[in-house]
Amino acid sequence: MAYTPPNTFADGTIVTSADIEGNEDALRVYLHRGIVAGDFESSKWIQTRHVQPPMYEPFSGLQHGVTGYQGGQWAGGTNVKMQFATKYLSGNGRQDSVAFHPFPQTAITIAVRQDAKILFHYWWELENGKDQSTATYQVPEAERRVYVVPYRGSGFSSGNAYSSRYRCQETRNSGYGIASGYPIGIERPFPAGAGYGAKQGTFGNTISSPATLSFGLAIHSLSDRCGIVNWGIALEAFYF
Amino acid sequence: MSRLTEPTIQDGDDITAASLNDRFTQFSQTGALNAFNVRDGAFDLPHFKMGNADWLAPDMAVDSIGWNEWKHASYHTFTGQTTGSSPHVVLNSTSNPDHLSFGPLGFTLEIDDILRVYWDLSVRPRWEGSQPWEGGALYFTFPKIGGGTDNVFSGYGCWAFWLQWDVTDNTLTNWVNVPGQGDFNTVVTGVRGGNTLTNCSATSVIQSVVETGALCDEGKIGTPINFPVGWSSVDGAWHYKRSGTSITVYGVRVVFSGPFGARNQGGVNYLLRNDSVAGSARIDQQAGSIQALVMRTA
Repeated sequence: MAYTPPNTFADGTIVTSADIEGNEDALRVYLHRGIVAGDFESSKWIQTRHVQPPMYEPFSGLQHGVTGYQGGQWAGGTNVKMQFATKYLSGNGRQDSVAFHPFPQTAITIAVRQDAKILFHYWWELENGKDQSTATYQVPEAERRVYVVPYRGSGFSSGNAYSSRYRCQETRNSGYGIASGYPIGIERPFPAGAGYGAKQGTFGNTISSPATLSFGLAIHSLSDRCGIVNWGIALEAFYF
Repeated sequence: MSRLTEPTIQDGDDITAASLNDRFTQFSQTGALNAFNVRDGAFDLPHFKMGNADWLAPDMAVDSIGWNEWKHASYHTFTGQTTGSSPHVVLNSTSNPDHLSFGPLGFTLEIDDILRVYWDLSVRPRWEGSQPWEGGALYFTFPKIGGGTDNVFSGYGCWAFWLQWDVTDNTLTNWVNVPGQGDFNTVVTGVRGGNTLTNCSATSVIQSVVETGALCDEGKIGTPINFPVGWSSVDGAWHYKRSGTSITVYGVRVVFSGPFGARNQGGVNYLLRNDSVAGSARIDQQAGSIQALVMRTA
């Protein structure tokens, strides 16, 4: 409702500082949190310049404004930031392991100030294997997959990646290994050996109250070496 | 004009009860606050109303789909389909069709609203028998080192996944393909059905096998070597802007069919069924996720 002064003054009465201050206190409260739609002129007069401009956070690559967050990071450009996945951080290739390790540099943290709808987008391009190691406790060569999964939490833990494991996207171990003669290197291109994975996904979230949240990618690898050539993450958060 | 015009009190001015009251009641003008009272950047997050249906993203739904056995101890298996078939539907752990529900009231798309749908699904394309794709149209023929020719998988053979929605009611039993998406059953050549690529707006594909000609030399190949795709994943993104009238959407789901191949006919590109080898094609289905967001543009 519109502002109503709590104290009214009348001729012949003493003006007290408490009455003046009381009206001003009420006015401060009104101006900060008491204005309602009916107090505004009905025509649309609020312009972009009247809305608090967004703040760009260069380290995270995000922009935060009145309507939410948007932005992201990627591995491309002049400095390719290749990452790696390995079974030695997630169970050594055992079928019964459910451990995950973080996908380096893909985590991003935001302070959500209001209930929000959030989309966390991600993509990556990897070359898996060929893992030809012979330890018998491992799954067979053709089953040595690399799984990538998004997570949400206060930071990475194997547990919060596991809770989203139905979102796992996997790529098989390459069918080709290292050449035995010149030229030394992978015997065939990764796409020819089915060990190449270019994938992407989106992780939808509804947040009902303010929170500080981390979004990122985690890996469960059954293969000894997997080169993640490129990757990117992006986040959209819409308040209300 | 609602600008406050009361002058500043100066030395020697009289203050009366009326003038003092006026200084406060000026703030009580209903429907009067406008640009004169607001500085640049005056409105921030706390000033905006919660639960506003006109806000940027009024509705969102998120769910898992399929059978969450991420290590693939067990899974659903489907056989390839021929022209005229209804597509396979993603099944959950109890073999019931899975979908993303938008709730009992659905999500209403007003004119110019945008529906954004994102999904992913772990699958494993495979074949029964030895190089059965050579019985269809899914290969190229190359000269072979030492004479003769041999066939190598074209790389175009795939399974297709697409979206359906229910815009009838919340029983979610009236699924139809989303706008811009066909069912691949329009006959293109002989009895083989397919879609023009322009009628595949909600389609994603995954290759059905990897095959290469070994030891290639001057346009000739050695013995073809093939690898199963193995467990992999397919994903999709579909954006739809509503025009004409509003519509209520009660849910979306992912369906799939195959095997398909590429075809150009009369200058038009198609994704075409390969009926003759469908009986040898298999796809195993596991789990994934689906999420939808409604956005307002005005």
